[in-house]
Amino acid sequence: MAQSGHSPFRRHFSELDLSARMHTEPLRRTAWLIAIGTLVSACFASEVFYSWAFNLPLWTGPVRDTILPVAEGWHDAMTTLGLTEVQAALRDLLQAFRDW
Amino acid sequence: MLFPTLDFGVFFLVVFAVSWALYRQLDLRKAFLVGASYFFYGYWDWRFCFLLLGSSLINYLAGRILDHPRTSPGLRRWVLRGAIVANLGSLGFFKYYEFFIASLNDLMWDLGLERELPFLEVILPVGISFFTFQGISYVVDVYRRDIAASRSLLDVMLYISFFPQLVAGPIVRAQTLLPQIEARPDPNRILATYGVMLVVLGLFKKMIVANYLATEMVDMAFFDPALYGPVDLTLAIWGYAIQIYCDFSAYSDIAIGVAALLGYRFQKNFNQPYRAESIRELWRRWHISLSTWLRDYLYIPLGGDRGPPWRVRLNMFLTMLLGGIWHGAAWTFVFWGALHGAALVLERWLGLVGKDGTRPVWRRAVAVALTFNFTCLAYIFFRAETFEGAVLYLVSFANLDAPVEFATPFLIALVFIPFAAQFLPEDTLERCEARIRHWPLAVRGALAGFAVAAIDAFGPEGIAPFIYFQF
Repeated sequence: MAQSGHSPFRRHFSELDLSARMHTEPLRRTAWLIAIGTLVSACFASEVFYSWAFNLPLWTGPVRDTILPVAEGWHDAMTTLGLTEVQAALRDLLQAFRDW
Repeated sequence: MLFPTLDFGVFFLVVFAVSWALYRQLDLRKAFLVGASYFFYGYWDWRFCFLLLGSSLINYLAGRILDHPRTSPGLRRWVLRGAIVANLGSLGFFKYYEFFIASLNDLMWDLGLERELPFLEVILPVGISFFTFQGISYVVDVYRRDIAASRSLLDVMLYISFFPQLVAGPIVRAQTLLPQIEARPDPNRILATYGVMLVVLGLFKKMIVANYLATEMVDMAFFDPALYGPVDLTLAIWGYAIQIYCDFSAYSDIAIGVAALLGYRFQKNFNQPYRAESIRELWRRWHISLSTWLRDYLYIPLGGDRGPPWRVRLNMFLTMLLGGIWHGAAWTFVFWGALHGAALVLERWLGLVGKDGTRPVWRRAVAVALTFNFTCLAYIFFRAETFEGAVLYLVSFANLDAPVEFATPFLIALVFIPFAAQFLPEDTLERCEARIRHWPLAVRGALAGFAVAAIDAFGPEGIAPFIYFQF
């Protein structure tokens, strides 16, 4: 347990403050960073996107009806490009390590 | 809504886009974030949103009365007590009612008074311990005049319900978050790379390390410890130490990362706890927001370091005992808290505190090993479903004939690599960020996206809830 003292919280946390030394980015670049990350993960993990859309609750009705064909088409396209094989290869790699 | 799910991913993308689109209209942005936070919370059970609302209203009103210049000191004291009772009352009812009634029934049975007390099946609202503690810290800080009461109900609602830390911390203080809520977020100063790195790191720790350790070793060992021998049980409890660290710190990492991407900054909640050379140091590195909360709102009001040595030791012990009870309504948690309290008292009594980091290397290594293994011993009571289960786990160390099952390269790597990472320089993540931030934006984004896809591929089917949800 830490020692007592008036407002020790600020002193303690100032040592751990993340923001002072960190590099910041403007919103536009942050949005691009997230968009690129999302797109790349959607390429390699398209199956997750498809299965998520497929399992959307029925009450989402029109939303589900719109998203599901998009997700299916996207997954088919990624499969054709061979990108979904990467996840399968990674799974095999891990399985080999687990079985070692 | 769990962090490592696509539900949350989609939710976050919408919140990120809309909240930044509204950054010029501050009140609208706050209202949107409150709505999003209530949606996030209501995803489990919408009825508990009323609890969140009630907590916000009580703490807001208490803060306004406490801060009013015409409020007399006597009334201030009563309002503070009322607010604390209201906060702890809801926590006590939802979290401890069943435990209290069951314990009382047992006691009456033992005394020969065989009367069943009314038993209600109370569902524990997710994260109630966290937002209750945030509410208490707000009113106490206003009472102590460390901060001014917020004039805006919306600000207090957002402070209590802000979704990244709502259900499993960190316990963010009002003096950290409220000024950020009141100010317009700066769209030119977003901790983008660091935020994304923390999210990816959190996903890795939770989905791979914590999940595999739980499903392939720890759960099995605790389900029936009598089947295993000393090697497996030792590996399993070390594995649990790594699992709970990776599970809980992953939640904090993702919470801090998500908040950073929305323009809010939280402090670290974990700082390589298993490199601690004493239990005191461990608590300065583990769940920092809880240990500092307990220090400022429990230990110091109890008297802190003031008074004769016996009183200081008693204060320490009581603080850790209550910290144990905070974790859960079971005697195993009480015992776990008592073990840590006793260890803190013993360290102080033997004069072992205050020497961290100044001993020769071999003595430091011994101190780290002792601290880690004591922590693991206490974890047996923390993890076991019942007290008898914990005792059975300990007794099973005598099963010398049991075959060794868990000592596979995969499980050993899952235990020892994260443990070794505790001894990396404390600013390793910051150093990585300093290197990575110079890489082209597209490379950073692609790397993060690929890392998420790889974590999804490596992770086991299904996502176990975070351990600290139950607290």
